[in-house]
Amino acid sequence: MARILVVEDDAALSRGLSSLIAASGHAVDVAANGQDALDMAHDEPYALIILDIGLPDVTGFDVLARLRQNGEKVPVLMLTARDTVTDKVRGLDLGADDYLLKPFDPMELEARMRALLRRSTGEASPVIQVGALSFDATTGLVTVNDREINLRRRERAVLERLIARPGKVVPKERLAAEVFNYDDDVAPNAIELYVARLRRKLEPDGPQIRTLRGLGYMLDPG
Amino acid sequence: MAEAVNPHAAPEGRSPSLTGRLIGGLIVPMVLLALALGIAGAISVRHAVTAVSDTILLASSHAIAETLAVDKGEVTLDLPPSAFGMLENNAQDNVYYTIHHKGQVITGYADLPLIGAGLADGEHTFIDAVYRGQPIRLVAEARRLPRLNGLIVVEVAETTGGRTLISRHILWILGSLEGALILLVLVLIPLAIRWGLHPLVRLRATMDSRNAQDFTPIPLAQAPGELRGLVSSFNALLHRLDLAVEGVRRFSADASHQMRTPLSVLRSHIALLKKASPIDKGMRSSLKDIDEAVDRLERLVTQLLALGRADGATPLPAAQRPCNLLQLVQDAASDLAMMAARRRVNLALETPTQPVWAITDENLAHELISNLIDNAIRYNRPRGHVSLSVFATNGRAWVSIEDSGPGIPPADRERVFERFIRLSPDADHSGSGLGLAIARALGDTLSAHITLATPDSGEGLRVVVDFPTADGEQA
Repeated sequence: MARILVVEDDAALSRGLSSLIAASGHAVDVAANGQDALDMAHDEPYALIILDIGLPDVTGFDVLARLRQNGEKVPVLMLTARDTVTDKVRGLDLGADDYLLKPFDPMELEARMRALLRRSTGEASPVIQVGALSFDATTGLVTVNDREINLRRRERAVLERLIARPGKVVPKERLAAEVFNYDDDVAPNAIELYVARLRRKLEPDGPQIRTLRGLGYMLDPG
Repeated sequence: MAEAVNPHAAPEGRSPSLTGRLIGGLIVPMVLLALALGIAGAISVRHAVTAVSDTILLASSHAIAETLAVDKGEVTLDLPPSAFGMLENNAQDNVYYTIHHKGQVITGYADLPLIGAGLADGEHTFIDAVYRGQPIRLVAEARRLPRLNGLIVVEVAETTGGRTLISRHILWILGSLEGALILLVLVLIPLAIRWGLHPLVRLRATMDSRNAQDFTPIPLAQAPGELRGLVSSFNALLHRLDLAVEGVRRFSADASHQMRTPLSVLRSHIALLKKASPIDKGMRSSLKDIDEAVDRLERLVTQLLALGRADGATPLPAAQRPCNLLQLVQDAASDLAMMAARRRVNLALETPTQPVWAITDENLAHELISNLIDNAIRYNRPRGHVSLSVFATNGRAWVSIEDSGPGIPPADRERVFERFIRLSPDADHSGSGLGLAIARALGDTLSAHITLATPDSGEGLRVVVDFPTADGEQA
């Protein structure tokens, strides 16, 4: 539960965003222009600001610059309709913490918000959920549909790397480099063994681990 | 197909080339002039040789006449050897003489024709004649001797072998020089014309080497003075074209940007509706259709923007750097792995043993490859495959993308690069019909060629892209 400010001049998008955020259990305030946003950010201690670049009075870049000038350290996630690299670089240079291109996947927005909130509130969300699988980073407990899965050290290490990037391909070499230490004397293809074991243990109702030959492995959130 | 037309092919009934006109206009009069000079030269040579030889002939006649004397009413003659010596030459001409007095031959060759009968004292005359079957030159001079009535006529003749020899010799030299001159003209004029017209060729090369989207004016300084007007008219045309193209490009970019916010609205509210429970089966299916429509719209907008970018892309030479093509394909494929997984398409990459480097713009090449892989996944069948491979051969760096989709009949393989062309109108393939058009536009910008073929398995489509490399020649 955190307090979040949405700065967006399009009323329909603003309503959609705030409802989505409210649905994930946060308190939402809405500003429709840059001046309101600055005033509200000054008065209230927000845990996160979602800031559109195209605002009617000043640009989102200006709002961000003035926030940072005032010493506000609140995380800012910028939304933009322009997918040029320069816009992205400019936003990040001005002190934006993340950047999303419209139209965005609401799930992606929620994931980014979670990451930013984790940083700002300092408390890592210890349980990661991917489909029926949940992974508690603190206790190391792994469950699929509340059924506990027993993993060995290397299998757990593999899962930890894959679950950090669900839906993304993790190259095999990188996975191996992260799972094995330098002094581990292992065959180059040993990682395949651990992935195969982990895959068997997550079956049948857990998320699938896909092998993409020549590319790497991916935890498929389904 | 439009590209098959050679832009430099001569149209039917074309006007003669500038080179042809210049060569015709210069060489023909030059050769005629040389011929006229040759003829005039030959005539002058003949005259000069005749004049010189005649002088010697006359001198010889004088020498004979000087020795004439009258002794006791008789004409005596002491023929000096020098009189004939001066007539000696290589041609071994025969020399004849006669001395007449009052129509009577005093001495010499009596049958030599008498031509000096009508001459006054001190006069002389020359004629050409034939004597003993040979052409001769004959001089006759008349003299009055003291104490003698009537005039003495001295005639000296020589055969013309020597004169002809000299004339021929000089004419031969003259002819050789003339010939050399004509040959030189024949060789030099085309060279000079080619050299003179070279700025034209260079200008054309400048225009040819241009990127299709390059509308910068041709620098006037590059054009020869005679062509400045033409070049500035061309530049004005380029400028108008640039404005028009830029207008269209900006419109499509702006329009696409404007669509992004409404799409976000749709996405967020669809997500909300999906979370809201309970919904009945009919609503869920409607929601799914709306969701998929938004997907398609979103892709269309992204593709339009990409196309606008590809059309506007002028790769800076600085951005064309050695680029690890394998890494690039891995990145592009990894980004699309989820999409492949959702469509139950098996995505795999054949890793080469050697790294493959291309000289290209990394961002544009990524976009090109992404579009091709996206297409291969999209136009596929469930449980199908997309096989990628990267290799270097023939001085180019290659990426091959094979799918197990319906393939493209050879007759349609050029057409699919056109914008908004979709071969299968069936709803399962939610393509925009822009993927290959974008790839082609980016390929043109990067000098990368895209070729469509049928895989060895006979099923699906094989798309091959070749990029320039550091060791290969530029395409």
